[in-house]
Amino acid sequence: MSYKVADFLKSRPIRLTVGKEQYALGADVTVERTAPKRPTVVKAVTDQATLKKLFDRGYGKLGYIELVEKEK
Amino acid sequence: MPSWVCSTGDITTDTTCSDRGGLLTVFWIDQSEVDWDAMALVANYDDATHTILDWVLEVGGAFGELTFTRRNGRLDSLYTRDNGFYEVNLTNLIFQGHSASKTISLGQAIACCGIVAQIFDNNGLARVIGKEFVNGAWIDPVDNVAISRHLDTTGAFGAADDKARDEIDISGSHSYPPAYSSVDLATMRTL
Repeated sequence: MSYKVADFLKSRPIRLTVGKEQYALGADVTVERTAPKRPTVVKAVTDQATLKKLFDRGYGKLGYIELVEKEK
Repeated sequence: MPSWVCSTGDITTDTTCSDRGGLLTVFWIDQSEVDWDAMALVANYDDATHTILDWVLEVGGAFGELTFTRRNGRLDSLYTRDNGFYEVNLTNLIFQGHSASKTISLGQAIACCGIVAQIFDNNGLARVIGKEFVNGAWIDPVDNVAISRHLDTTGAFGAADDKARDEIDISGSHSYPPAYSSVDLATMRTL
């Protein structure tokens, strides 16, 4: 079993917080800032541990992260 | 949402001395920039304590911070039986001095008719106005939150308390008291 981000988020990625941690789902998200602040980039989550954590926090039930059965 | 049904439990004056008045800072965003479906997850909103735990933003969404003269700003949420709802008023946000960029920014914000704001009080708490959690979903408040007043003034020459400045009020109406947020200042500045 593995976790993957739902395809629809590739065209409308989201940026979320879990406490002080920040994650992007679907694609890298660039946050534009008013000068003199610099833009920041939040990298898309790809590692399985984080995907599982977010799946368990409800993003699975919401359909944002899917559980995929590996082919035999 | 908490069960807003009749209950007459104990209510006491807070013993943690969280009574310092006024505002620390305000973060605002257009409501279309927040993923409200995801915000309804138990992980992101605690129904029991009426508290936002985490924010989920759409791509391109980002909070702006309002840096105003801290002595003046205030947040009032007033319920009256006659109205049956809370009048929410974030008032007297004063930005000293003038610049074209500030004027443009304020003019653009006036075009927003659904502002969501997380307001840090000087007492260490944070409130959220502009959206309400009702029956498992985030909905628009009774009246959307928007800038209700903008004073763009030169002030008066030689008057210490009447300098060139912009003043804004932000107002709306909520069915229930505005929610709290546990998302801290440092995190908000990254959002």
